[in-house]
Amino acid sequence: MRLRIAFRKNAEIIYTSALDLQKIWERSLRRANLKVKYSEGFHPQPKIQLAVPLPVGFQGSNELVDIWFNEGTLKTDVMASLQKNLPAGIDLTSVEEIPDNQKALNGLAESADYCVTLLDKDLGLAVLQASLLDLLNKKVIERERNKKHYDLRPLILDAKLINADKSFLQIQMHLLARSGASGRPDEVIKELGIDPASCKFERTKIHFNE
Amino acid sequence: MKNSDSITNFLDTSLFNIQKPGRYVGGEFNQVKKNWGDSFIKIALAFPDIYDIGLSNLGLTILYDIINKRKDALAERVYAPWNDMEAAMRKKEIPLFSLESRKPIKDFDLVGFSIPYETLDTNVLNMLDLSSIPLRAIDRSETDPIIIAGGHACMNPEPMHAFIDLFIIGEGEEIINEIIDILNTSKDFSRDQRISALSDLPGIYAPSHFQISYNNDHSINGIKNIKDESRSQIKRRFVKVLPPPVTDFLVPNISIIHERAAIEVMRGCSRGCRFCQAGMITRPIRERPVAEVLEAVKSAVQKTGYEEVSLLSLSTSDHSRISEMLVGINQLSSEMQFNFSLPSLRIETFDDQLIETMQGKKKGNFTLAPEAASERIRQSINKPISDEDLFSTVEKIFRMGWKNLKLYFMIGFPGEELEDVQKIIDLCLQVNKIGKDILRGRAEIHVSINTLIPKPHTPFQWAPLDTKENVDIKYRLINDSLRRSKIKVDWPDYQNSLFEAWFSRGDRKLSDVIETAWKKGARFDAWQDKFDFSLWLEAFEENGIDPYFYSHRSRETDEILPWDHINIGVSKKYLINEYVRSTVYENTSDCRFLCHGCGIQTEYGIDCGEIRMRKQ
Repeated sequence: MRLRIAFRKNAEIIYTSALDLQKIWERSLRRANLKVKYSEGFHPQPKIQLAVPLPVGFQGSNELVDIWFNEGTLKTDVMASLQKNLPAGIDLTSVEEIPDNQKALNGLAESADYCVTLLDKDLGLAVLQASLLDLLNKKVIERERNKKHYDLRPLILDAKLINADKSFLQIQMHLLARSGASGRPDEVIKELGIDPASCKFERTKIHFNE
Repeated sequence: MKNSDSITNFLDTSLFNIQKPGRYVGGEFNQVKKNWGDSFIKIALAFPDIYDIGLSNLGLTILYDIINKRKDALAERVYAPWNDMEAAMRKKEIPLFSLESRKPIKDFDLVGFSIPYETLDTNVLNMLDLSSIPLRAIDRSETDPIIIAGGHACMNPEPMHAFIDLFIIGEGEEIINEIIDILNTSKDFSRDQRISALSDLPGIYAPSHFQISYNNDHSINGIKNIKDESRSQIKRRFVKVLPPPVTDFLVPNISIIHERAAIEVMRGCSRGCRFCQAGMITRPIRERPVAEVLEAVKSAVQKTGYEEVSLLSLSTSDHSRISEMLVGINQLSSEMQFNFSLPSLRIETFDDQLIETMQGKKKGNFTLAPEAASERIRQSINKPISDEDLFSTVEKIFRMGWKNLKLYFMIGFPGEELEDVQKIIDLCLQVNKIGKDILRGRAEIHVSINTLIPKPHTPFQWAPLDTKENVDIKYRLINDSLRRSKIKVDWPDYQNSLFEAWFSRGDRKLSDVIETAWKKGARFDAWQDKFDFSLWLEAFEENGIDPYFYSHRSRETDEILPWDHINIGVSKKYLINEYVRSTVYENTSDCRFLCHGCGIQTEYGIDCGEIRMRKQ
């Protein structure tokens, strides 16, 4: 029985990597006494599949994980007992049953929406507006990450400055999130000449192919 | 003074560029966070190494549990920040803070450091400094918390005496409650009065109450309690009945070194190996009843979700009901799907039944610690195993499917000759041959050699550390002979052995050296890439102290040792006798079956047999 769980990853637990989050699911399920299916093979692993890895330091308001439970597991039980056994910062928002044979979330991901809050109040709206426009007008944005050169521009589908929150400026970004072609909002921020340490990053939605 | 909001603000804006930021935010499952308020005695539990190592420290885990179960006290945690975080904190003038409430460490009533080994000393100083607490006890004032320390390295507290207000000598389970009770009734006292009240507790050592005088040759002339002459020694504390084990371990949100539930099945060891400090300072033996261990294992897995349980003790296979325990744990392990590990198995106790219970286990490394290979040295160090037992155990291990075997040896024992070292080589080659025969070449032998550090409170405490020349010759011999057979060999750098010898065997003068070294930048001396030996030599030089005085001098048994006022319950007479017996290769048998009068029973007025086993 494959359940797709939507959850929020909040500020308390943003420094947990995707790999460590996998362990958190395993241990929380064990604490909740919920029985899950294991993979076949020499080293059976619990069948838990996270969607696109969320970078360390990012909040996520609409994250997804697929977990294969033993038949007969009740969705309401999963919500109640799993929530109680998760560390602070992970809030379950919904659970739905998914056909067992559907493709893995990871392979279906296409793009993602991010909201970046700029905590540095000295940044001027007009200047930022201009440099963002400049950025989007570029044909190529050459950058280096982990000693690899790549072009950031095709990974940016859209980016706009918003002023919804009265106290801080925010940039909404829509970036590609395919495996092998995935944009990082902190790279966009750096390209704008802003220190990512002075920003709050949140992934608000992952878009999947049908 | 910075408050928790400014600390949070700092974390929000700095952690993006810090390695493994999850070290500094807490929030683990099973973390206890109480509302910060005046009604609590507030204790910061500090481990002077990074989070990755400190979180699983069992001593602090136990204290965290005991303190937070009380209605009148709270315990929060703090670990040493890694270099990058330290730099960021200093730059922004952020004080060292607790993980739970993000309160400056200076705001606590008491700070308790766990110091299991000497290489953490400079980190203690660094953490005090980051907290804006004066390094030296003598410079502290009313607004400073009381700084206490405990752990195995505190069995010789003298090198750290200047920085710690009070040491806990021995086990903490009971005394922590007594400390909190006193802090509760002494709220109107001045800081000095509180320290004085605490120092009256049995097992508490206040270095400021003791005066040391020296002879011209730098040895100690006398140790005197200037506050209370009748209390010339501080007697180690131990708990007669081990309380049930902690089971709600903090489960980290990031990867750390030991992610597992650690259940202590027994404390103490009856074997009396003469090089082993732990075996002397944790007497008498106390076994936990099997039912209690099984209940704890089950509960720990339920409460943590951990997939691994480790059964801890100095010599797990010496538990009198070990087979029964393992049958139970095996059953739980398949029902609840967790792995378990049994470190510290004695070679000669490795019978078929024990092996049977381990049959289904995942086959990782198997570790055996013969320590010595020649008959002579085995008698001398009092670890008399036979080659036959060793070879038959090794055979069983390989036949069961383990491919990686790790063997621990020590060199540098008093009276050791090259022929004794040659025996280590012969033995390893023989083990290698057994492995190759059974597994047709797939066996991997890893030999780990350590240099004996003659530790305080052991029969070897009077012996010198082996010289560099000798140690080099011995390692080269072993390495050259074993490498040809593709046996992996590792050994410590002699500089690390020197450091350990100096600071475990040193006296009060070493406080100055530690402070000088810290000022020169010494941190994380337990980390090979951070340890800077030359800096330590400079620190000794600047203080006019010859470090080799502490490591390479054979001491007479009537010399006053720096730790003589710390009474671990084992008598000096017994230690001397054991030292003498080692020189004539006399064995002293397992004291579970015959008491050798180490002094524990008379000193504490107990019967070891009664204490060892509770009704099951």
